[in-house]
Amino acid sequence: MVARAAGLGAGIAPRRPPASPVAPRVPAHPRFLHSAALRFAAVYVLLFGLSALALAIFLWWQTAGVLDRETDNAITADVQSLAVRWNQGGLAGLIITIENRLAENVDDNAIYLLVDPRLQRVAGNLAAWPTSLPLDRTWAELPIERAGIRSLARVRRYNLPGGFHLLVGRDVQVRAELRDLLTGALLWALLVVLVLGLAGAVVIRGLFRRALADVSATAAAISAGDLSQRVRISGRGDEFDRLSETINEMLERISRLMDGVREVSNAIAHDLRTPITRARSRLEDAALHARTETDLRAAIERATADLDGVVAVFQALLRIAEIEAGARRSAFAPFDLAPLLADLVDLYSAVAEERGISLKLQSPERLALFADRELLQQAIANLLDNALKFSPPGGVVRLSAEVVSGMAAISVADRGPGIPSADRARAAERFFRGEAARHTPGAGLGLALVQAVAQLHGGSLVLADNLPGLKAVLRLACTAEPEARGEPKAMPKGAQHEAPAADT
Amino acid sequence: MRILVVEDDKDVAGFVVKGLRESGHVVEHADNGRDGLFLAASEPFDAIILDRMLPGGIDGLRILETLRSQHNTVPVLFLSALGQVDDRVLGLKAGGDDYLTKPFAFAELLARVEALTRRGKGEGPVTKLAVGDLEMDLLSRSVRRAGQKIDLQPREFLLLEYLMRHAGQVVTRTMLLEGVWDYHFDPQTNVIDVHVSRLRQKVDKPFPTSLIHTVRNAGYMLRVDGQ
Amino acid sequence: MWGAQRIGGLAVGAATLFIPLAIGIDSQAQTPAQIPAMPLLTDTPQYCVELSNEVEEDRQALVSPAPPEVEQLAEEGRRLCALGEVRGGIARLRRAVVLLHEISGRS
Repeated sequence: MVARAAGLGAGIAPRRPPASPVAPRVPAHPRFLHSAALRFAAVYVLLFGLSALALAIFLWWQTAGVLDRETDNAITADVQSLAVRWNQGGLAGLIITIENRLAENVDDNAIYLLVDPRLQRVAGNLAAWPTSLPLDRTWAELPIERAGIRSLARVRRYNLPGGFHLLVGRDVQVRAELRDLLTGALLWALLVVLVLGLAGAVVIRGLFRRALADVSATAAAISAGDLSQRVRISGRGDEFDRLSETINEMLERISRLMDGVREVSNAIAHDLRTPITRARSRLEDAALHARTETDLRAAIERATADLDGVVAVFQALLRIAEIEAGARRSAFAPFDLAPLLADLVDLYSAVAEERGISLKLQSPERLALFADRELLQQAIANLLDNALKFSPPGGVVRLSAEVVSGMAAISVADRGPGIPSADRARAAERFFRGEAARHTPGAGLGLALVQAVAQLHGGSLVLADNLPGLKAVLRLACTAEPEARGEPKAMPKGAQHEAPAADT
Repeated sequence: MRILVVEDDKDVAGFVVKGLRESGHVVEHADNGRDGLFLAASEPFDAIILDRMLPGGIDGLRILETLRSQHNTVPVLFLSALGQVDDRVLGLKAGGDDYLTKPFAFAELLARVEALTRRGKGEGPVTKLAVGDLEMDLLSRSVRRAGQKIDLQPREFLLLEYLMRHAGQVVTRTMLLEGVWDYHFDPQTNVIDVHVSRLRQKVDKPFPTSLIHTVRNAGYMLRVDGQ
Repeated sequence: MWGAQRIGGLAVGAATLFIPLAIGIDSQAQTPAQIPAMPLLTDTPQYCVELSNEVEEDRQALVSPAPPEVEQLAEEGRRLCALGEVRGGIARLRRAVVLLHEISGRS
C-alpha cells in the first residue's frame, strides 16, 4: 500500500533527477551560432535591412528612374514629330526642321543627326554616324564632347524611308551624374543601415537574453532542489510576465502536490499505524488467550472492522489524490443541482431527526451546473455529515445553494462548536483534527476531500464563523455552458472526454 | 445457481469460490483471461464474477466485450483493485451489470450476485408487488398490509419497493444507497439504518410478524418470517 | 531547418548589398572610357557665327522693330563667343532666335 501511494505520488508530479547530484547546474550560454537570441536578432537585421533596401529602391525609382523616363519620352516625342515632318515636307522639310530645332534649343541639350543611305551627314549637330552604335539596338548611350568636356548622351535611332537614318538624343550628363550621386548615397545609406541593424541586433539579443535570464536562473535553482524559488515578475504585465506567472503557478502546483505526497506518507506512518496495530494486537491476543470459539469470532470480527476502517481511509486518500491530480475532469457533465440537494437532504433527514436536529434546505428550483455529479454529491455529503456530527440536539443545520456572480455557492451551516479561527486555515489539511474533534470518529479527511473537489471545479472551500457554529461554503466556477467558457485546460493523457448529455 | 469466477489471485479466488459453494451455488473457476473467456462462451452460467486485471493477454473488459458482441446476456459483476473509480463507468458502459472494488465483504458480493440473477429473469413490466400479506401497487403508489393502508413518504415507498423487488435476497446498505438514493459512496454515519428503522415503524411494528429482517454483517432482507 | 534558415538569411543579406552595387556598376558600364567622344557641332565658334547671322536675317525680316532684348541678347552672345565662352554665347543667341521666331510666328 505504501509503495502504491508513493508510486501514485511520483506519477502526479514527475521530477527528473538533476544532472549532477552534487552542485546545481547553472546553464551556460549556448554556443554563439546556436543562440536563439542571435537568431531573433538576425531576423531583426534581416527585416530592417529588407525594409531599408525596399525604401532605397523605391526612392531611386522615383528620382533617377523618373528622370530617365522623362528623357526617353522627350526623345521619342521628338522622333515622332520629325517623322511627321519627313512625311509632310520630305528631306528638305526635315533638314530645315532639324536646323530650326537646334537654333531654338535654349536648353542646349538636343542632339540630331540625319544621314543618307551611305551614312553621310545631311543635317544635325553630330559630324558623322557614330561607329560604336550597334545597328540592332534602337536606344543607346553615346559619349560626347562638349567644349572639351566629356559628356554623355542618350540617343535613339530611327530608320526613315529611302534608307535615311535619323538619330535623336539628349545630353544626359547631368542626369547621369545625379544618378551616380544617388546610387552612391544609397549605397552608403545601406552601409549605415547595416551597421545600425547590427547594433540593434546586439541590443535585441541582450534584451532577449535578459528577459529569459530570470526564468532560466529560477528554473536552474528549482531543478537543483529549491522549490521555493519563483520567477520574478517585472510588473509590466507583458507576455514575459504572463509566462512568468504561469510558470510560478505551475511551481505552486508542483509544490502543493509534492507537499501532499509528503503529507500522505507522514499520515500513513502516524495516523494509520494505530488501527493497524490495534487490529494486530487484537488478533494476537485472541490467538493466545481466547477460550471459546465465540471469543475468537468476536475478536476476528472486531479486527476486520478495524481493517475496514483502514481501507476506507486509504480509499479516501487515493480519491483526494486522484481529484487533485485532475484525473476526474473527464466526468464533468451538465446536470441540475437542485434534485441532488433534495436527495441528500432526504437521505440525511432520518439521521437528523433521530438526533433531534432540524435539517433545512434552501435552494432555487433549478440550478444548472457543469460539474462532476458524484464528486459534488460526496463533497456536500461530507459537509452535511460533519454538520450533523457536531450539532447539538435541538440545533439547526441549513443547506443552501445560490448563484452569485457566475459562481455557484453551496453552504452548510450548523450551530455546533464551530472551528476556532486559528484552526480554520488548516482545517482542510489531510488528517487535521482540531482539538474539539480529536475524540470524535473520523480520520480528518472529509474537509480535505471537499477542498480537492472545490479546486477541481475551479472554486474554493471557505470556512466561516456562523456565530455560533460553522458555515462551510463550497464555491464552484462551473455554472456556464462549456462552449461559453472554453474547454478545460490540458487533460491528463488517457482521460476520455464524455460528450455532455442533453440538458436535463 | 451456476456461477463462473474469473480471478487470478489465489487467495481471493479461493475465498470467493468456497463461500459461494457453501451458499449452495455451483461454481466454476478460471485463473486467467483466456480460460475464463472459453468457459464463459461455451457453458451456460447464471452469473459471472469477473476480475478486471487478468493475466493471459485478455483482461476482464475484453472478455465482457467479446461476450456481449456474441449476444451473450449473462449478468456480469466486475471486481477491481482499490481506487479506480473511472473504471466503474467503463465497466458498466462495456456491458457490465455491477461493480465491486477490492477489498470487499463477502456478504456484499453474495448479496449482489444473487440480486443480479434475479434481475436477469425478465418478468416484464410489473404493476404489483406482493410479499406475504404486504401488497404494493406501483401504479397508484399505495401500500397495504393485511388489508390495511400504510402511509409512506415518497422515499420510504422507493425503499420498500427496492426491498420487495429483492425479496428473499440479502440487500446490503451500499446496494440501498445506490438503488434508492443514487449515492455511490460510503457515508460515515449510519443513514441507511435510520431510514430502514423508520420504515419498520410503519410496516412491521403495527403488525404481529416482521417482514424486514436484519442480516448480521450483511444488510437487510425482506421475507416472510420463518422462510 | 536551421541550415536552410541560415542560407536564406545570408542570401538576403548578400542581395541587400549587391543589388545597389550592381545598379551602380551598370550605370558606369554604359560609358566605358575607351569609346571616343564625339564633339557636338553646335558647341563651336562657327555655330556662333551661324546663329548670329540667323539672328540678323530674322531681325531684318521683321515688319516692326524687334524688342530691345533681342539686340541685347545677340550682343551678349557675340561678345561671349568672342571671349571664348562658346556655350554661353550660343545659349544667348538661341534665346534671341526663339524670341524672333515667336514674334514672326515661325516656331
